[in-house]
Amino acid sequence: MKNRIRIALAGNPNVGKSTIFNTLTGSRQHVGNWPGVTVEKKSGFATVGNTEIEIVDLPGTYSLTAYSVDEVVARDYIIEERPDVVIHIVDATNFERNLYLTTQLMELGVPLVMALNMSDEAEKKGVTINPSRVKEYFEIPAVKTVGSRGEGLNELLRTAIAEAGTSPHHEHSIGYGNEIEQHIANLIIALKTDPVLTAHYPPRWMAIRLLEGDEKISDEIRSSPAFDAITRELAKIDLTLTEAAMADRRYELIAAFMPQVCPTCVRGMSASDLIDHVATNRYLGIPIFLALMWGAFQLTFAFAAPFTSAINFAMNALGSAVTAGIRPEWLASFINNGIIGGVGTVLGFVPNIFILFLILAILEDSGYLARAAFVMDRLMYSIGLPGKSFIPMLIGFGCNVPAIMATRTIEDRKDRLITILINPFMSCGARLPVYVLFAGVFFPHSAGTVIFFLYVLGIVIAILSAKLFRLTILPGKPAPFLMEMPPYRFPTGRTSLVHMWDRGSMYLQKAGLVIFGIAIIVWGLASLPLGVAYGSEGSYVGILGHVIQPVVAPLGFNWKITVALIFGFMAKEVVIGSLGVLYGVGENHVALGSALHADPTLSAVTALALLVFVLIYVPCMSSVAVIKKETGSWKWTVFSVLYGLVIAYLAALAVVHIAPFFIGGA
Amino acid sequence: MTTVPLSFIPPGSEAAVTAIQATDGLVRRLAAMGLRPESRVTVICADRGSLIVSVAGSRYALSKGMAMKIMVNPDTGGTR
Amino acid sequence: MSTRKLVFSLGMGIVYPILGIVQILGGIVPGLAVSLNVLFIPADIIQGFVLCLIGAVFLYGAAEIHQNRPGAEAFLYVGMLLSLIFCVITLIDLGAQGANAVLFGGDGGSSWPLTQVIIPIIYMAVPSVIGSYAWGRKFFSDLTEA
Repeated sequence: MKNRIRIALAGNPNVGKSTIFNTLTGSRQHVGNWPGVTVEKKSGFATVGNTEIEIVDLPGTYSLTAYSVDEVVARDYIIEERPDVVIHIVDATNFERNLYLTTQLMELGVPLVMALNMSDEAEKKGVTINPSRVKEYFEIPAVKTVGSRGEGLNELLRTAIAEAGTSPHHEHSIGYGNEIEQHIANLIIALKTDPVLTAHYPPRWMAIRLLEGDEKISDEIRSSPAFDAITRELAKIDLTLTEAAMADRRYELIAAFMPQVCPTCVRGMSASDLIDHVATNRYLGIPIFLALMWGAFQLTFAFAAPFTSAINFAMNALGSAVTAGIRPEWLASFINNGIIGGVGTVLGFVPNIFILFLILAILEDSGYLARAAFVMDRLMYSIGLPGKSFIPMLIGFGCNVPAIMATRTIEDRKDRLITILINPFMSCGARLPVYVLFAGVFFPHSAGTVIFFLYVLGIVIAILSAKLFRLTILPGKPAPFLMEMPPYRFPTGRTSLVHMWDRGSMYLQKAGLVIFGIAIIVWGLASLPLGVAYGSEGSYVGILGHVIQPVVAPLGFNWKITVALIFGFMAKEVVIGSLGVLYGVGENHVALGSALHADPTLSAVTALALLVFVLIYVPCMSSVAVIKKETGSWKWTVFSVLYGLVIAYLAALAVVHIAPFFIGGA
Repeated sequence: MTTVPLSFIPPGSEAAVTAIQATDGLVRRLAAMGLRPESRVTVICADRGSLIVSVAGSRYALSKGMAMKIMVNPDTGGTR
Repeated sequence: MSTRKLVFSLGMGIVYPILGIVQILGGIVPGLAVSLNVLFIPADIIQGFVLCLIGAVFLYGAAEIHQNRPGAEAFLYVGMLLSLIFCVITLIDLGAQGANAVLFGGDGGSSWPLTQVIIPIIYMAVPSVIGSYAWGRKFFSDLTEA
């Protein structure tokens, strides 16, 4: 049973493409004309093992614009005929200048293989291109060939066949910087109003071509219903500036990659190249990134701590003044627990959020973040997520609120959605005190291990959820990784502060209001009916706890735990406080620990189930507010909440039934 | 008939511009620098991603990306 | 490539990981931390990993320098850069803790002993400062101009 695939050969003129074509096809070739033009078309056949290959030799071109017939013929074939693989033949002795065409081929969304032709002469010149590095940076398999001697051609074809068979493909492409990418995104939205158009041409490619004033594409859209929307979008843009910037960006990437892919090709490395040499190193790159992120967290805590202390101090002082000075008592409680509590929750996040965003802005403006996304890309792809997803995931370990806001930089909507949905499983800092308390009481000798296990469990569930979503509700291949490698530079204070302010103030405006609102509602439930002690059994919250308790009874939770979990929805930090109230010991952790230990309804297994539940169930309301803001959809927000609850319930249930075999029940 | 992009011209060589493959705005900008069909350009040096060229007695720095849009006829000696 | 760079890289590449591993062990093995305090090594596990990483960068660099690969000195420069970055971060962190304690009598220790500052992640940056001055001036000035 023979396989049949179609391969196109592309490349600059004078790279030895015809020689390779002739060697591959021998006498089984046919020369004709491309339809409608006076450009020679050569096609032929070759057989490798079980596979019959139709090979088409595309005209040699320097790029894929609409300025020459050759280029139009070449790109039309790739777009319309959709060959299984395109073999990009490059002249290894002049590697860098061939890469311009490579960047354009990468935007066509077709599987690519690179032939490093004339590699014998290249080596004589002392030029050693590392094929595995080419694969690492461009995500294009590369094979050394000497077309004139027929060397490497078998391996080339076999690599091409293998590449044709892989699906889906991990694609890399050029990113053009935030501003231009925004234009592209808007154009794609306009283009997608005409499904016929976008079925024919890749949307992103069309958008890029339109921005560069491609005449052929401009003609194509004239008859499309999307024409007006597109024209309106284009009118908002300074196209000359954009065209120049885009050409610059392509070469910026080439210039950044060249020293890493072929160190002997370049005459000396700049400071920027040297840093990249280490920052994108396949072994050291990821650890360096992780270490720097840890450093960023340390800095965030360090700078934020004084502000947080100041805010707490002020809130406490205010609270005492209110308790002392205001009657009736319910009003004092309203102001204290409701308003001040609510405002306090919102403000409590502020220092951390602003400073974290400031540090991120600095990392982004310095150019390092682009490299970080690059090193994390392959790892993230195996989970089905884009490289940029790693940053929100990492921030999530500190606090889910800024983490979800940080997903804004992810271009593809589905990718962004999945990243947001799995973020709550990154166990945020507010849950830690709960872990410490329960693990310390019920697993005194292995508390640290239990907590570590919880964090790992969170990551595992995040990864599995991502895969699940990819397979079911958000299918599709991850969008191509858009690479940018701007030169490193010292970030200016002003731009970083502006970025920080943009993101931070958004939090205050939107999330802040919602959080405050919910805080008041919870206060209401905890204080009514009139006369009950705040948050006690008699209040609505307590009643709610009793009502819900049967549902969670299989998990072994008593009604006090249930109430605490309800409060936990408000903010995870509150779980301990409310337990303190319910067990009658106030804020004293030690006393609370003893009380919990003494409670006959709580066992080690229950504690473990509770910990797992807290890890997974609904993130705090602030996160929910931010999820709504970032997804812009109630549907996904509700889904996120329900998904968390369901998985938490199932996981806790599993613990209750499985753990006794390991822990022994008490 | 061997027109190549300007970025293919090695340092020290001269060439004659044949066409600018860009939209009007960019064409005008480059023309203002003296880069228009028929004018002669010398490549002075080629560094990471940019070219220094000399046109009508003046020197300019061009990104290689931009230089890909300027098609030229190299003087005899070729591009190797 | 200069022998001095090779020796420096190798030296840092050995000392850093040793201190790092010891620091990690101090965090894991109960009781070890106390005896380590004598050597001014805190029991901060993650910090220990960071030390090991910086050491790895230097070590990798030493190997590349030895084989005369292009771009080998990059590892030396970046190693020094990382060592300086983390030293500064830790100093800021300690400073903030101190400020917090002074201003608000807040959580995490009321006094601020100087010995808290003499820890590997900080004092190991001293050779980097010297190295940067000796070899890195052009490298760093390139960056600021770019």
